[in-house]
Amino acid sequence: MLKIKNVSKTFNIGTINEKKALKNINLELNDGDFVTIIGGNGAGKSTLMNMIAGVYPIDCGHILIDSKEVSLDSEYKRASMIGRVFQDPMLGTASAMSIQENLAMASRRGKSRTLRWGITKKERKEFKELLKPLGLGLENRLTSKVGLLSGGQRQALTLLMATVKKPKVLLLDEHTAALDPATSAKVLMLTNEIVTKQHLTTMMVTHDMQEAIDVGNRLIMMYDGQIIYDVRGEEKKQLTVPDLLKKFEEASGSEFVNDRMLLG
Amino acid sequence: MDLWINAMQGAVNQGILWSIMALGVYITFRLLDIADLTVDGSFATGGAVCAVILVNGGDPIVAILVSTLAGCLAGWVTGFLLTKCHIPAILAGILSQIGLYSINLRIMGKSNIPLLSTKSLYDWGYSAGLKTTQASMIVGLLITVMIIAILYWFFGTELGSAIRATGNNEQMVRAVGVNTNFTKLVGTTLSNGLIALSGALITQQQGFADVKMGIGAIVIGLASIVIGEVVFGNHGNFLVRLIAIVTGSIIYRLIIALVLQAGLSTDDLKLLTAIVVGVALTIPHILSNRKQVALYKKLTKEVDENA
Repeated sequence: MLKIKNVSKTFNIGTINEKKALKNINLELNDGDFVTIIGGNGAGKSTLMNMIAGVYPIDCGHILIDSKEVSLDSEYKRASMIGRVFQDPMLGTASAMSIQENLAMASRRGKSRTLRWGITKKERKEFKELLKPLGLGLENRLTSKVGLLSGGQRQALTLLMATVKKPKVLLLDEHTAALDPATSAKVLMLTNEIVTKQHLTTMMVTHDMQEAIDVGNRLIMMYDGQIIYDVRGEEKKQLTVPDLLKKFEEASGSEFVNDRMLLG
Repeated sequence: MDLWINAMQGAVNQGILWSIMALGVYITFRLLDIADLTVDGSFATGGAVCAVILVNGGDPIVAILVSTLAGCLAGWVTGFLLTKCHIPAILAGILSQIGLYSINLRIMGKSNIPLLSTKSLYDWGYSAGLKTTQASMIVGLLITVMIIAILYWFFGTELGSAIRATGNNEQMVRAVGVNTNFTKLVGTTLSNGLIALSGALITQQQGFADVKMGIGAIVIGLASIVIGEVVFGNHGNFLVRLIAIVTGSIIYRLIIALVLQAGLSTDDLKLLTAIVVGVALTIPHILSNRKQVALYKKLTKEVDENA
């Protein structure tokens, strides 16, 4: 479903601030793969997500979604195939617009915007049904401005927006990191439900190693712009946090994992 | 007394005709969150194109439509500079505005065109026994209602929603697959089309076009928007917001008429406008601050008494 071939990215080439963010990344995700990505700050996790989404251009290599080369496509064009949830709950929704307007815009992802009415009666009903299972009471606040919602509510809404029209790839960039533990767990549960139900090909960046082990069918560890560990299936299920820390030591050659890795 | 009534009638009339310009400014300033300074140029472009067509014997309605298209073109250029050339919004607007000054002179061939015996949209008023002010007020009101209806519809469509969202959260709009360069381009084009339409209506009403007629138009547009927001409050649905702008435009003209009647020199008008905008922008902050402090005092007193 998603194929990344020989992708590299260097920021500020030729200056004193030169930073090799991605070094020859190769990765292939099968249909329905749910991959969790861990790694310290600056390992290249977010850069990898942004490269797939097309926020910045890649220096070289190929990115294929559903066998279609998208390496040179702009961000909004790729969005027809990609659903995204960001770390900052403010980024995924338009705060001055209503819940139903946000959902209506998201449900037209990949379609050209016409002069038809922006939201239909049928959609209003559908959105109500869609919001009910969240248990947040949002189904009765369809016309409320999103700016009035809490961070957790906004993140749950963004997750619905990213999946209301089934994406070929779902990118979750530390989407629970800014939430309190209880809300974070709730959003993670919701994520798991949606991904499983829709059989979505998903990449999820997280700083919580236990979470990375518990969720999904595959785990990737990044370090210094490279994928240093890739484990799936039964082997992944058997993993423990100490295993991961050991792997990190082996692959990175560090004497002991530093606190940045632990604390994120 | 007659003089006062006439002055007030004239002010309301001006307020209605200029409100279409303010609606145009609203699209960029509030919806797209861009300060587009093209306004001063495109307003005069509307007047210039309209005057040239009329002195050449053209139809007043055709003149208005062509003027609107000319304004759209000016707005498109600003949008192009903004999105394709990545020039910051304020600079892109200033470049268009300055360029339009020369273009407007080229269109007119001179700096002022009087419309003496040309046709105008307001001619029917004579045969109906109305004064020019009254006739233009009726025409202006009809056109304004029509524009508000069109804007209300357009910004409820898929494309219109995407434009509103662009000014709110650009990243989100791109993430749902909308080309934000396109939405900005449509916004600036539409905005300056309305501004030029207003310039054309004013030209027919005042009986001349002048290359300098647009100077300060952006500030008048802002004045109308913020006065409307102060009077109606910064909430309510889209339709209420549009009506608030028209009301704001009329109130602005009434204030101007009052101070002129009171003896202020027309030379001081621009300064007065700047002060009105400054005050109108400040009032909401002072009010909400006061409200907050009053609430604090009340609640704290309660807490202290209960303690």
